[in-house]
Amino acid sequence: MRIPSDLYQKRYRDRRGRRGRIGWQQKWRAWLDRRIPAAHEHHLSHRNIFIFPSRAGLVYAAFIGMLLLVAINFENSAVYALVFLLSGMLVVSILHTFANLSGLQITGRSGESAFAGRHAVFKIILSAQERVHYGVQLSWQEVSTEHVDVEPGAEQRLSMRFRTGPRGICNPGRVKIQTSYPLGLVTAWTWVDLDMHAVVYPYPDKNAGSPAARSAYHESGSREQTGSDDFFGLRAYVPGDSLRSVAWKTYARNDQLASKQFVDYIDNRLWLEWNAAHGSDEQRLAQLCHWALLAEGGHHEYGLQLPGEQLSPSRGRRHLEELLTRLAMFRLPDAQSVVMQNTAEQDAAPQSAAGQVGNDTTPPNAVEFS
Amino acid sequence: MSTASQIPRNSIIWLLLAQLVVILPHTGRMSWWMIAIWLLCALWRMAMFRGEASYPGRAVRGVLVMLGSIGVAVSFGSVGGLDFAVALLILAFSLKLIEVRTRRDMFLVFNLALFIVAASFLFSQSVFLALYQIGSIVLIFTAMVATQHALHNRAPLLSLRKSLRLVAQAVPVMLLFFLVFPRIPPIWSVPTSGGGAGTGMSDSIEPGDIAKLNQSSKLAFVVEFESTRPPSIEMYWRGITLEDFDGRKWSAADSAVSVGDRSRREELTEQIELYGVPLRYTLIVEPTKKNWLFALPVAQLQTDADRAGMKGIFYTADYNLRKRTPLSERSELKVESYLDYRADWTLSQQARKNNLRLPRRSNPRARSLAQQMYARTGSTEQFVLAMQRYFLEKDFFYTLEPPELGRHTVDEFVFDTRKGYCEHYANAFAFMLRAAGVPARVVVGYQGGEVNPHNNTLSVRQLDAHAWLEYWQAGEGWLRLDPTYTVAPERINFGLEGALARRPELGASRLSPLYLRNLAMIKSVRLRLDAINHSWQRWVVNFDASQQRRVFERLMGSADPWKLGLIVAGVLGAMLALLSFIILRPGAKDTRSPEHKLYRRFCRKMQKRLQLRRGKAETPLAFAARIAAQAPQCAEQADAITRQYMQIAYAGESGLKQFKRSVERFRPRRPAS
Repeated sequence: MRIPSDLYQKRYRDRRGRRGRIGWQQKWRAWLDRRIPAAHEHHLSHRNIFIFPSRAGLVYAAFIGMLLLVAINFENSAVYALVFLLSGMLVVSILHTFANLSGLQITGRSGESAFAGRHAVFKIILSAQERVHYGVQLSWQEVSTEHVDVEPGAEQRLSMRFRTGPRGICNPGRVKIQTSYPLGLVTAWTWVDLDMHAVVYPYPDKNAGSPAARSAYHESGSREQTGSDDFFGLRAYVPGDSLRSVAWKTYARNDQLASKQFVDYIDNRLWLEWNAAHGSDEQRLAQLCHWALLAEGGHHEYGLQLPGEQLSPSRGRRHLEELLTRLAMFRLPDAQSVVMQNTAEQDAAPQSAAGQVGNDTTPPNAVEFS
Repeated sequence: MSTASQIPRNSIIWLLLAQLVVILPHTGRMSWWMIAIWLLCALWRMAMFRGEASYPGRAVRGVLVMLGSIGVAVSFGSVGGLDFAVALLILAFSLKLIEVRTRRDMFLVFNLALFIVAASFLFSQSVFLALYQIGSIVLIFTAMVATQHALHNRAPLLSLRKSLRLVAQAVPVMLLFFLVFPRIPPIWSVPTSGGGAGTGMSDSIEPGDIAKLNQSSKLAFVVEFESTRPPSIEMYWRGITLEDFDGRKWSAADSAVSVGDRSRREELTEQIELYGVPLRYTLIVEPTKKNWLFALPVAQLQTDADRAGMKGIFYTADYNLRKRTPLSERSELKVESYLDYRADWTLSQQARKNNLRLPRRSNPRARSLAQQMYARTGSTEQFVLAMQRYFLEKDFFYTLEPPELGRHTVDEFVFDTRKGYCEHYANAFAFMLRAAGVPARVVVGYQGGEVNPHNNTLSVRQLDAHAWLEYWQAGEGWLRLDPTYTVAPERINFGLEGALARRPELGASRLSPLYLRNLAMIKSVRLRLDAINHSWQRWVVNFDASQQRRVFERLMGSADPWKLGLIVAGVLGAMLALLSFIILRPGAKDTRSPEHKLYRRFCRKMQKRLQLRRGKAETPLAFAARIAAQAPQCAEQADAITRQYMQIAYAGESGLKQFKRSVERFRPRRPAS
């Protein structure tokens, strides 16, 4: 399992690089946070667009310089004119490139959950107001999408597969929206934080064995099943009942055949327990995760017991999501706030992380896991 | 390779087209096999495009590069020449075609293409090439725009439109920079452009040389007079005086140059007197690859500024202008000429000897004739008149196709053939003058020229090349004598072309281009093109530091750098503001729906025919109601159109075609009165 070094995840910022560089980067990020604060939706304008010659543009400028030398040395007016025309193109293309990004609207959708180190998928929607935005690219984590044209009235939906770090809440941070249209000499871009989140579950430990072997059965809460241990009651005889179960004493009293009912009291509720796992915190969480997935595949209800918290047994996708989220958040400093935020989001927007996953018919993670 | 860096297909198509257009002007300088290499690469790329071929391997590319380089080195001999460099560029340009994989790679090809465009200007700067290359640049940028489009963009013309817009918007910036960018003198010396030896005068003539030169209608120089133009008979563009005669060939004496190597005419000789007001004009001289400059005698550069600017020009002892280095570029000179002058009224012993020297045993018959005539007349003046009379009476004939002459050219010409061209007459006259003891020399240059009525300039071409002579008379100095004028005055009065038109028997069937030049229609088109090309040369190609300064002075009174800087910054700022407004204006594109456009057309028709203008805030329904009130005769039709428009635009109904038809058919009738 590889944990990507993510520049924009605040939790990891301090572990990397030299101090001086960090200081500079922190200042830059702080400035950026003030300039373009996080929001679900961004409307691009001069406030949040940056523009600079691209590498090709710098080469082009150097090339114009070379042509200027030719013009000077050959005292050639036509080459002078060419040099100025090409410079003019560079100047004009700055305006065009800016115009091509300006007015674009970017909306972020919170992503689908993923296991640590795998890809969380975020949906980003580009829409145009009045002009066509040509050749727009989305980049993050050194990946760029193909150039897309965004036309007014037709949204462009891009999915961003973001490689996650360790368990917890994954915030892809700032993504880059850029264009070099029309000439590729100048790049206009913006770094926007679309305030997107995805829960990152611990990566399941496949060598953890089966949950039944390690988990205890509990008496509280039971299910009945026909058995032979304890007397339960009488019911009218049904042909086919074993003669051994006929209550002959009752028959003697009131001349009616009745069958004795016995049940076994079996507790089938599975508790995934912190203490049943072993190793470090993270190893235990990985094992619990594996068991939860196995349990969801089985026929029993299952619950979770962690030090200081408990999730009562149940079954189903929603339950699994919640359980895995508990695992993901376990003992994280900002867990409380994130969970609260998540619930708030869930109430407000049904498409946000937990809700979206819950509604989905095909679970994205099950495929990755199996 | 991720898809994000793949090259869109449209871009490849545009690139191929741009390459073809960029290479085309260079084909004359390239070998056939280089074009074959480009074609091979282009076909290969097309095959890759269709998925029939893959990228060539490293080995194949290596071999192609090696063979190509060797080929260029062999074909273009000298390594380091301009031709060689351009050939290498084009080779790299062609081969790169089968190597580009990513969007980034494309930029190298674009830069190469632009460089090859620039290189073409080192060979020619004509207005036609410039226009052509604007087309090339549009194509190159079209390919560049196409590269930035989404991978599967299906609208190739979109890129062309964008490119045209970009170029059009960059032009004002270009003009401003062209005007104000300081022109710096060359930083290091560069190889001069190729293009072979120039045509033009040489410093020696034999009978037949000028006639050969006259076959060419190539431009020698253009003259712009500041005041009135002198008559054709005054326009002897003097270039070289030929003093040495070997019996057949007249050639320039070395002394004329070495003695008079001065940068100020006044230092040259005290024996010159100039009278009257000088004739001022500008010479725009073609790159002849020769040192001579041609001007009306006695000429000097107009101002000190020009004297400093036109470095390398000096005055010769025979009061001609000359350049130290051969003319490799078109250049411009401001000259003033004193047509009325007196020069060298006393002649040094050495000069006298030089101008009388004849080979001992050449042309005995002409020599004795001259001596007899001089003895009869007694004075130089009378002798010259007698000679002219002799040539008139003896039925000499002026022709472009004179018979070949043998050893004694003057004898054969004067006594036998009697058919000759200007150099024959000049040759004979100069010889006979010398034989009679009158110092004489042959002068070559141009006579007359063609006036272009479109811009009032005078174009002097190789076909105006002429030879005449000067003889020396005590107290008077050197005097011009043109025997051709005696024999064929129309040559001088109307120019060679005029003379041919008047006297077709001058017999120049070989000179058919001369005739072609004069067909009325062709001539008018040609003169117009010449006028355009001339303005281009004058205002664009020859735009240099001194012209820049003149423009500034005319535009704003002075070339004060502070003032200039402020004005330039102001203009640039205003230009950029305007450009920003045009480009960034929201909804700059015409996004109006077709029904809206059609409705506007209807409104225009109403306005044009019935002067009924729809108010700015008037709704279509209100307008229709007003039409019904003010022009009831077309109320019905207007109502139908309005209803159709409303239904399509607001109710989202179809029927655009029908709507279009009714708008097109709509003819607002005038009220019957």
